Amino acid sequence: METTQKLIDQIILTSDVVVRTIPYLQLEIVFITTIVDLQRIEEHILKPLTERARIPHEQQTEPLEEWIANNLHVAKIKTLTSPKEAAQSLLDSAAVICSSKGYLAIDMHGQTRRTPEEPKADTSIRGPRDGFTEIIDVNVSLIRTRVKDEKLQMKERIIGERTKTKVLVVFIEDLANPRIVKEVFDRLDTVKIDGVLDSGTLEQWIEDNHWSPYPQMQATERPDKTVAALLEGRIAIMVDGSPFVLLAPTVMLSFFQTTDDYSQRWVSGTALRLIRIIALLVSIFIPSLYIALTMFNPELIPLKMVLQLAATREGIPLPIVAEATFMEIMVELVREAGNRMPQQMGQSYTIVGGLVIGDMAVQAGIVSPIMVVAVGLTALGAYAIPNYEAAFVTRMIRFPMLLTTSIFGIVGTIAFTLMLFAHLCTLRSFGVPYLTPFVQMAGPDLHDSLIRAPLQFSEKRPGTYWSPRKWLRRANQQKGT
Amino acid sequence: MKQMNSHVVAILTFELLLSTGTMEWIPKWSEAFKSEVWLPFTLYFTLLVGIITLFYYMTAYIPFTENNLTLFDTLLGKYLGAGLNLLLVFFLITYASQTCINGIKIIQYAALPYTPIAALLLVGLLIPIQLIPAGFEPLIRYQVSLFYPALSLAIFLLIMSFRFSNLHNFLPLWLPVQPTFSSFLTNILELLPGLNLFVVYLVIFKKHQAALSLKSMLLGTGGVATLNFINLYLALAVLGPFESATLHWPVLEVVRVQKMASSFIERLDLIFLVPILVAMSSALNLYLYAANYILTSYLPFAKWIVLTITVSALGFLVILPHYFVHTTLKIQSMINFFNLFLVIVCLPVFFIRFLLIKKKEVHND
Repeated sequence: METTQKLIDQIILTSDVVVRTIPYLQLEIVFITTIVDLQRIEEHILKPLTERARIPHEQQTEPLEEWIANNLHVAKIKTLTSPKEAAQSLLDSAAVICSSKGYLAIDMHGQTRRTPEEPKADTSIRGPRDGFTEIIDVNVSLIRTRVKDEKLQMKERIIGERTKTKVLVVFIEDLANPRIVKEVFDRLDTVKIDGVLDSGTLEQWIEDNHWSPYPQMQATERPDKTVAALLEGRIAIMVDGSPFVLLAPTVMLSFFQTTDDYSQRWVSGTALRLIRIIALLVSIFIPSLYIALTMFNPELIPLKMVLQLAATREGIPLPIVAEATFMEIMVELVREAGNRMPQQMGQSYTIVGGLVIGDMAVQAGIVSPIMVVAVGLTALGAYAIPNYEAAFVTRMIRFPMLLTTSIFGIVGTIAFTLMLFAHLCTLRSFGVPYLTPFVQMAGPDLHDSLIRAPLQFSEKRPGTYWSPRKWLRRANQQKGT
Repeated sequence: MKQMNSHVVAILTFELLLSTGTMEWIPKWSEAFKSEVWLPFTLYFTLLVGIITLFYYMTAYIPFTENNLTLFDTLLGKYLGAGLNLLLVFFLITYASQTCINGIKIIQYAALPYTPIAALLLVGLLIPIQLIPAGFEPLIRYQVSLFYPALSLAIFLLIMSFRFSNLHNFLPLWLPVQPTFSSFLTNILELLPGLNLFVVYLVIFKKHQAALSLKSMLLGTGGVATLNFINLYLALAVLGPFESATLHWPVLEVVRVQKMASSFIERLDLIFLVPILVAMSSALNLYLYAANYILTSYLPFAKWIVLTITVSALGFLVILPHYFVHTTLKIQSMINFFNLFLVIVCLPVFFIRFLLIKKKEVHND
């Protein structure tokens, strides 16, 4: 058939492309066996069509296209005229019925679908247990079941000249700032690449400052976190094939907020958040301060402690800076090896690496026990940061800080911290300053920052993400009752 | 969310008036006024409130245009204003260099006696070099985000240092020999280096639609006066006026003598460096940004060339006085002269111009 030939001309005919002819109906069905659900094709397309083919021609009163629309038990049918569009649908898991008049594309998605499982990189104690999967439709359904707002908007873009990856921009129309929404689309429209395999790749194409080590978008596997972000006026970007949804705009503080902060009482939520902030400070400063206090300014610490430190370092051939750098690199090695190994083995390797190598290094006289404690605290601090990317940057920042401290002592630590602050002040995420809300010092927004104030305090939607609706988020129950 | 809300304006007013925050004026005040410092301090506070109120009303009621750079060209006309603006650039860079020199000296004194000046200067410049090309808003973010942590730490350390104070050091309240008027004036002017920054930043605030209000500006003014008061009285209460007069950084010395027995950190002076360095880097940013902002408007070069010129001039002025003691003295006297010029000549002229503009507006109405 001519239309079938035109369609096949658009693609390379591989072994999994099947062209099935329906006798007597002058129809041909084209599909790719590896990406469609064959059982559904047999039951919902081939079976009804072959049954109709058996009916004598004079009894077929209904036109064929109308009959297909009325009798095939399928949800999505698209009428197409151009072979190019038909080929695109074919590659997007549709079965294409070719007739002399044109094409009918019927969605027959059939790849293996992983059911939503608990996210591995984004865990919660009291929060829900489902997480995003690699299939964008499943992810959308996880959002839709939580947000039944008629203003929930989803706009599609196809990115990747060759992968033709579906990217969905999700936001609540009257909550998200229209300027930021426009900016997101403008940036997505400028991305001209061969393929998008993961949301992380897309993130790097559309972020504000690609020289910065800090992530400027928040990646999450959690639908509840995504919904919370949508309700704050943020925008979610979903990429087909990636279980990580990107949230924009992002401020630094959002990396330290978790679902648990809100599902527990405000005292516990605040305590948890403060612990994370302390973890961040410990992770960045402990090795540098150890070097500054022992190498440059031992007069700051009590004499007893100085003597104790000197005693533990007795016989250690490495200078303190080299010792600290060596141990930090060891920790990173153990962590990276643990990540790459099979799960069960990786866990035991981390324990072996942590305990045995650390202990052996102390016994071999390469490092002092106090250094093992300092580096251990640092590693623990970094792992207490809930976001993987933020935790990773924090760990990496330690190395230049170690270097400046080893040259300038405590002044180097302070100077490097100020430089880091200066850098963070220049950062923006889709126009929103990275250190919001601290840089505006706007009172109501600080209720959910370092502390998590009682929910009754947050009657107004925070202005952090430039949401245009700043009125009450909920009815004023206490005053009303 | 509005970046320049009234809270931010209060913080910036504080930072503009505080300048370096190293309190070098305390020895001179202690020497000149002994325990009678409350008198010049009261005068200083009154003058400060008066000037800030005047600045507020000028900013609120004078119509600014996009072409205005400073209060000089806004109130004194294009050509005279341009001349004074370029003079102001010179003094702003000089102030910035003085800030750097103070910072370097204090670091060398407290922590790194053998580190070369050039190395410390380079480290210090890495902050404004990041912020200035990024624009005014990142600069403000830096100033604001570090304000409360640094201020809280400084006040905590200052209050801790009151442990060994002796209130008898404040007596007698009235000395038999009165200081002269010129002594009052020159000493008070030492506390007003931030006024030249106001000449530039009030116009910038206006351009960025800052929520300027008298309340927020006076809050910042009150804050800086309170901090100066705490520092002055700490130095006097712990060291006494005679010893304070002999030290270069009496407040640092007061913090230095504190020994925290049975604590993880026994001495606090290096921790005190944190708020000092934050204040210094803030002052350096503000001076350099203002100088660069004016120069960018007058020089027909790319922005990065202008920034290079500004930073090179600063580096020159920081390195040079280290080798020529007389240059330092000359620079110091020039700075004093410019302060005097600003308060004695410019402010009254500003006020008269302001009244004329107001009168014209009323007449037109």
